[in-house]
Parts: sequence; C-alpha cells; structure tokens
Amino acid sequence: MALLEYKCPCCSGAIEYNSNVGKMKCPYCDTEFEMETLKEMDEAISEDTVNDDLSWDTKAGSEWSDADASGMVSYECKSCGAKITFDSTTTASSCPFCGNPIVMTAGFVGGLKPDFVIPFKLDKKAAKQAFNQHLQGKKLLPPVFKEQNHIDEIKGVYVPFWIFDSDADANMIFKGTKVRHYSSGSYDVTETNYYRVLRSGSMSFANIPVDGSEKMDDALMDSVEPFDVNQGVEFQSAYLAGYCADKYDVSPEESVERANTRVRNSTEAAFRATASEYTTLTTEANNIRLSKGRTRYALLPLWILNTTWNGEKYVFAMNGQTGKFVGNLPCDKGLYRKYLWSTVLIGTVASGIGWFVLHLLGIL
Amino acid sequence: MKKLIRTFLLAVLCTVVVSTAGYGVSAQADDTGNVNYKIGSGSTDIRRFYDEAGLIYDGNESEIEEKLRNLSDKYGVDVIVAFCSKRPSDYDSSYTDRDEVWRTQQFACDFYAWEDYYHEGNLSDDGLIFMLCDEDRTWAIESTGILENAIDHSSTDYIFDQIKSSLSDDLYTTAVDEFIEQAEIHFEGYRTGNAYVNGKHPQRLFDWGLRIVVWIVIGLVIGLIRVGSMKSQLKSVAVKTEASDYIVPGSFNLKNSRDFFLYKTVTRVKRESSSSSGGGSHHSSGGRSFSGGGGHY
Repeated sequence: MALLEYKCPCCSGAIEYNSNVGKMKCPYCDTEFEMETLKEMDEAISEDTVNDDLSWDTKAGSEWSDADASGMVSYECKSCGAKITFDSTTTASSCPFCGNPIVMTAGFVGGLKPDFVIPFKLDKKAAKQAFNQHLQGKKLLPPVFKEQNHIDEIKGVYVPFWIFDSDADANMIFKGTKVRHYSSGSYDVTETNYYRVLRSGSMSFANIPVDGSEKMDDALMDSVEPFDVNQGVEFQSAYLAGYCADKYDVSPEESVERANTRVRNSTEAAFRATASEYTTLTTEANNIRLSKGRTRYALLPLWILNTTWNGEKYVFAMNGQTGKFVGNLPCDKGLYRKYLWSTVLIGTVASGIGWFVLHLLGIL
Repeated sequence: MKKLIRTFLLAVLCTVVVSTAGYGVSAQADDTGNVNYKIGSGSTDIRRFYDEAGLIYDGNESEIEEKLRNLSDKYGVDVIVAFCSKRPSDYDSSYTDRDEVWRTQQFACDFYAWEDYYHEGNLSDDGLIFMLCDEDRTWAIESTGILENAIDHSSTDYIFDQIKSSLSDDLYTTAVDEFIEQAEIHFEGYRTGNAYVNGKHPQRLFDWGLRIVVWIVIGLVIGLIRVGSMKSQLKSVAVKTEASDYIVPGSFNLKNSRDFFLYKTVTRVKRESSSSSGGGSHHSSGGRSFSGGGGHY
C-alpha cells in the first residue's frame, strides 16, 4: 500500500491527519487544511507538472554564393577587432564602432549569409536631425557637449541580429494572498487568506531580436527596439551601398539565454495578469516548455554615432527603420548643483509660505 | 555658488524673522518702562507658596515666594502654588465619590476660595493656582476670572507638558520655576492680544528650528525630485528583460486556472486610546468659576 504524504504549503513540513480537529494539521506550524483541498491540489499539480525545456533550433543563415561575395569587400578594425562588410564600390577609412582606421582584408569574410535584411528607411539627414532633437530639452547636458560632437561621423550600419520565434507551454504555481482590513470593537483586524494559484496554458512569441555583435552594447541594442521584421527582404549586396554591415561574433547558441530570459519573464507576467484579484502573488514554480522554436539571422539597420567626452565614450544609435533614437548623455555636475540648490531654496521658501498660509487659514 | 548659498541663508533668516514677528512671545521686547502689564484687577499681599508636602528645600521657598509675588504684582493677578501632603479627600469628605484628578482640581479651586475667605474676600478676582498632591501623584492648574481667557484646558495640558519631566525626576523647584515661566508667557500672550488658548500654544525656538528643518527637507526632496527627473532625461538606454512586444496577438490560451484556499491568519491590534487629562470647568465652594485641567504625574 502506497503511503501518501502531503507537504505543508505553509512551511513544507510533513502534515498529518489530526482527529481532534478532523482536518490535516501541520505539526510544525499548526496550520490546518481540509483533506479534500490538499488531495485536489496535489492531483492538479501532478497533472500539470512539466519540466523546463527552453531549447531552440539555432540553425540560421545560409552559405554565401560567389555572386553575393563578389559584390562585397571586408575590412578589419585593428583597434576593436570589428569585421565590417562594405559593397565593393565603397572606400571605407574608419570603423563605425570605435572611429579608428580600418584596413581592407585579403578577401571577403562574411560568415553566414543573412536570412533577411531590413533596408534603411531613414537617411543620414534624418539621423542627424534625430540626434539634434535627442539633445533638445536636456537641461543637465553640458553645453560644450553639443559643440564638440562630430555629428557628421554618424554612420549607417547593418547590425547582425538573431531573430527568435517559438510557442511556449507553461505551468505556473503562485502563492496568493487576499488581505482584508476591518475594525472590530476596539481592535484593528487584518485578515489574510492564503491560496495556491495554479495556471497553465500556451502563447506564441515571434521575432524576438537579440543582437549578435559583441561590440554593440546589449542595452543599447535592446533600447532601439522594436523592428518591424515583416518588412524584411532577401539580402542583396546592393543594400550595402552607402552603408556597412557588421559580421556576427556572438553565435545564436550564445544568444539563446537572453531570449529565454525575456520569454520566461513575459510568460510569467501574462499568467500573473490572470490572477489580478490577489493582493500579493509570489511565484513558487515556473515551468516553460518551448516548441517550434526557430532562429533566423538578420541584418537590421542602425545609425551609429561614437563620441568621446571628458575621457568617456558615448554611443548613440537610431533605429534606421522607425527613427527611434537612444543613447545616454553626460551630466554637467555644475548645472546639477545649480538646479538642485536653486530648487531647494525655492522649495524651502515656498513650503514656509505655504505653512503660513495654512496657519492663517487655521488648517495648521 | 557662494552667492546662491548666501541668498538661501538670507531667505531662511527672513522666514524666521517674519515668522517670529507674528508670534512674538517675549514681554521684554516691549519693556520700555512705560508699558502697563496689568491684566487683572490687582494682586493681594498674601502668602503664595504652600509646601505642606515638604517637596522643596527650605532655602528655596522664599525665593519661589518672591518670584510668585513679582509675577502676581506685575500682571495684577494672584498666582498661588500649593503642594499638599494629604489626599484632597482627607481634607473634604465630599470629594470621595469622584476620581483622584477631579478631586485635586476641585481642591485647588476650593483652596483658592478658602484663601479668599481667609483674607476676607480681598483675593484678586483674577487668579491662578498650581497644585500638586504628592500622595496620589496628581496635579491641577486652575485659572479664574480674566485668567480663564489666558489659560484654558488646552493651555494647562501644554504647561504641564513643559514641566512634567522635572516632576518625574522629583525636581520640584525646577518645576515651579518652569510653571512661573509658562504662566508669564501665557499672561503676556493674553496681554498682547495673542492668548494661547483653544489649542494654540507658544512657539519656542526649538519649534521654529524643527519647522525650518522640515521646510528645508521638503525643499530638498523637491530639489532631488526635480534634478532626478532632469537626470533621468539623459538616460534612454536600458536592458530589456521581457518580450511582451513579441507576443503574437491572440496567441495566449489559458488552459487551466484553479485556485485553492489554504488557510487564513487573523491579526488583531488594539487601537491606542489617547489618555486625556481631566479638564472642564469647576466651581469652588464659594461659587467662583475656574477653568483648567489636571492629571497624574
């Protein structure tokens, strides 16, 4: 005969039937449970239990044909190690990532051929305009920063991205509480009801981009999202005219972890939203199984500007498809102090005047 | 920057000067020698300090007596301080059906009336008495006549708050000195048309210091929020940890949704009830009306 053992949902201790109260009772924390509830819950958890499976088919890209390769040349930056591809009619002199001189390599070194490319929709003029707009209204921006920028050095770069698609089946177990406050006689009463919340279901993710360039800051690349991948077209070397393309140096296998983190967090958030009636919700288990996972290799359009100010490097990027401009700006400490103390002064005097007004009105 | 700091300090100083000007409490500012301090109908030449409980060193009694006389003569009122050795109910059996605080308050009123009777009705109509009953550790401050408008129930609570630490430490001479100081502040407030009654209390330097600190803290919080907001405008780069933009619309399918009630906990916290001291009006045995308050110390 199988010995059935239940664990206390409260403290994880082994619970047993208590004949005095006619319920299951934890000998460690004294919490009582209905036998039927425990049984039903145990069955539901057993039915839904799956193991995590966050594996993807990471086959992406294809081999270059001779025709493709003949229209392109490769350059290498000796400073940052970038391997950059231009069309054969372009003469390049500086690295779009670090600004240092680059040299042409012996032949075309392109790695895999992208599955698709999203062509630039916005030109250099739009990028320069977006940069100037990015600097507008930033009161703590050092005035000389604007003057010392070499905005003309903004470059159009096709950055390698791995694009992930997948369906996700998930089982979630949360611990939820519903809290009620009320008064009883001369007491303030807080009643907390504890629940085990089980959710399972599925959802699909499409076109999650993860950049495949070691040189590009991951946060910067995340920030220029989203891209409309539906506008992607088959790669032609002609798209490189006037631009350059970076070769991936982070493999799809290495990029999977970033995609998984995002899938896991969004899946959990979607299921959490179905239990909004709870005051608090704590995740106890989060099992996700991916299926139909596939990876594609894409070149996505970005305008990049590198600049150095006060010995620190600042990189700005504009989504060449949507025009979204991102990039952290430096803070002028002198302006920071000026605005802080002037506001403290005004705030202090204003709160003093406010106090007097309220005092005169008899409120204070 | 130095100019900014100077401006800031000047503004704070101005705020303090403006503030204290509206709520001046010092009689000395007006002390030109021609000021009439009298607010009552006149003081009487009586004994003002009674220490039957023996709480004060003998050497200090005459000093206290003199201070009370000076205060009384200055404002034309009669101020009496009495420390009882016995419970009020030991003096008057009619008190026994009421609580200790009420008894001490009533005894203070009757004490003033008995003094008046003893001096053939010559005691001022405007008087103030501070009584301690050492036996049951109760206190009472009662005012009569015009002083009912200078010291009411809220004033007596305030005055007691200023002296209670001295009483707790059995520093009775200090407590009497503090009482005299507070009485003068309240008389002066009434004289200058700024009576500290109905919950309004004298402002002390500490109160202003605290108030200014609060204003500066508010200013600092506002300042930090403002520059924090400005600084956040400089940041537009952040790692994305979710993929909500990439969920295929309509793909979310909730297959199973089950909630199991486990248990409940109930916590009860007794509401704090504020311990208020006794207050309201009393009448002495002679029918004289008194206002004030009392309590335990």
